[in-house]
Amino acid sequence: MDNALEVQGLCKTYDNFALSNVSFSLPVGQIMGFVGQNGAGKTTTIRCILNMAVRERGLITIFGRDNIKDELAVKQELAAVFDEIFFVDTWRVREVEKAVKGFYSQWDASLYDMFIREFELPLDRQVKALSRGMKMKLMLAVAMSHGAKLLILDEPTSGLDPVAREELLEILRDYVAGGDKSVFFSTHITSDLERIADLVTLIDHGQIFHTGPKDALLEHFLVVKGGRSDLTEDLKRKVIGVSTTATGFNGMIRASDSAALPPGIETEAPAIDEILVHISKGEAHHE
Amino acid sequence: MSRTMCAVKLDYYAGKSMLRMTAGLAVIAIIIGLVAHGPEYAMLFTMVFGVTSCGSVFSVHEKSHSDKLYGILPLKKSEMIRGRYLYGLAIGVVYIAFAALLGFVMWQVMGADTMTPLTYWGALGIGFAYYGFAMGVAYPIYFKFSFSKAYIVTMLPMYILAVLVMVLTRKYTSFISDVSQFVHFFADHVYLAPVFGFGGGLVLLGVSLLIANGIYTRQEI
Repeated sequence: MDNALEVQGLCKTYDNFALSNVSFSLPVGQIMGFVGQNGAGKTTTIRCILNMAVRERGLITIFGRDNIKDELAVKQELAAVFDEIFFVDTWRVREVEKAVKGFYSQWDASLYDMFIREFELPLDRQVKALSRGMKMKLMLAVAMSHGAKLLILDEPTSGLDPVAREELLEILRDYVAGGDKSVFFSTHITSDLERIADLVTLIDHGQIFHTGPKDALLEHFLVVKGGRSDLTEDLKRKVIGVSTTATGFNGMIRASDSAALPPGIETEAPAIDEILVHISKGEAHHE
Repeated sequence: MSRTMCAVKLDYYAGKSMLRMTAGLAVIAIIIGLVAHGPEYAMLFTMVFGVTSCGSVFSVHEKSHSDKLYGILPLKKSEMIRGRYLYGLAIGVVYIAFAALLGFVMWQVMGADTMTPLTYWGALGIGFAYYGFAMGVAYPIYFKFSFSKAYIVTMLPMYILAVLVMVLTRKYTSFISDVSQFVHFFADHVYLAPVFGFGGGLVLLGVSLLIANGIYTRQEI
C-alpha cells in the first residue's frame, strides 16, 4: 500500500528537547492518531513535516515526495489545521477565501461555498467573533477546498466542547471516506482516537513508543494490578510506569510478558490514555 | 498570478484594517503643516506616518499567528519576503503620491510664499528616501524578532542618524558648506531632487531586502 506520509529516522534537537529517530508511516486512506503527553514532541514532529522546523537528520516524504526538495508541490497536496486559528482576526469569513485561494492551483470555490454552508459559518462575521468550534470549521473548510489529500491536524479538539468535537470527528470520517485521503491527527485527548483512528503512533520524550494499528496497540499491553508483595524485582523490571499504594501496585506490561506473571496478579486490557499515563510515568523502553 | 503577487495580496488583506486607521494620521500631518506654516512639514510627516502604516502588517500577522499560515501555504520564504517588500513599496508609493498632492494643495491654499519649488521637490525626495531608510531598517528587524519586541528598536537608527548629523556638523566645519553645495546643486537642478530621493530610497530597500532574505530564510517559522 502507498504511504501518504512517511517519516524515517527524524532527529531534531533543541536546547532542552530532542526528537530522536522518529519513524512511522501513514498509508493512504487511513487516519493516524499521533498521541503523547504535552511536550512529548508532537508539534515539533508536525513542524518538521511542514518544514517549519528544519530537521537535522532523517527523511520525510509525502506521497513519495521529499517535504523539503518538493515543498511547493507537497504543500499543494496537504493541508494543516492547528489548535489556534491562523487567519487574520479582522478578516470576515468571505475574505479568508480571497486571501488564500490564489496560492492553490486546485482551489475549488464552489466546494468552499459548500463547506461554509454546511458548517453554517456566517460569511460576514469576523474571524475573531467566531466561536472556537467555528474557527476550527473555517480552517477545515479552507483545508478541504484545495484538493488536499493529506490533512494534518495539531491538537484540533483541545478546547472544543463535546458537541463540537463530535462534529469535527464526523467531518474527518467523511473526509477519508473516499479512500484516497488521509488524516494525521495529533492529540492528547485519547477518547477521540478510540473513536476514529485506524492507526496510532505514540510518542514519549521525543521517541516513538509504538506505531501501528490501534487494535494492535491495545493488544500489545496489559494493565496489571496486585498486592505489594506481588511486586517482585523481576516484575518491577517488566512493569512500565508502576504506581504503588499502601495496599498494592498497578502498572503496565507488554502482553508478551504476561505468561510469566505470578498468580494473583490481575490483568486487563488498557485504554489508550492508560497506556499514555503509564509510559509517561515510567522509564519506557522505546521501540 | 505569481506566488509573490499572491503574498502581496495576502498582506494587503492582512494590513487593510490598519491602513484605514493609520490613514487617519494624515490629519495630524496637515495640522503640523498648518501650524508650522510650511506644506513641506505636512509632506514629510505624511511619509513618517507611512512608515507606521507599512510596519503595521507585521503587527497584524503577529497578533493573528500568521506564521502558521505561512508554514502551510505553498510559498517559499523568499517569495513571502519579496511580497512583503512589494507591499511596503506600494504603500510608500501611495503615501508619496498623497504627500505630493497634499503639499501641492496646501501650497496653493496657504500662498505661493510658503514654499519654493526646490522645497516641494526636495520634501518629496527626502520624504521617500526617509521612507526607504526607515522601512529598510525596520523590516529585517521585524523578520528577525517579533514586532512587539522590536518596534522601539526600529526607531533607534533614526535617532542615531540625527545624532550623527549633529556630530558631523560640529566636528567638521566643512560639513555645512558641503551640504550647502549639495543644496545649491539641487537648486540648479530642482527636478533631480525627487529622482535622487526615490533612487536612494529604492537602493536602501533593495539592500534591506537582501538582508531580510538572508535572515528569514535561515530561521524557523
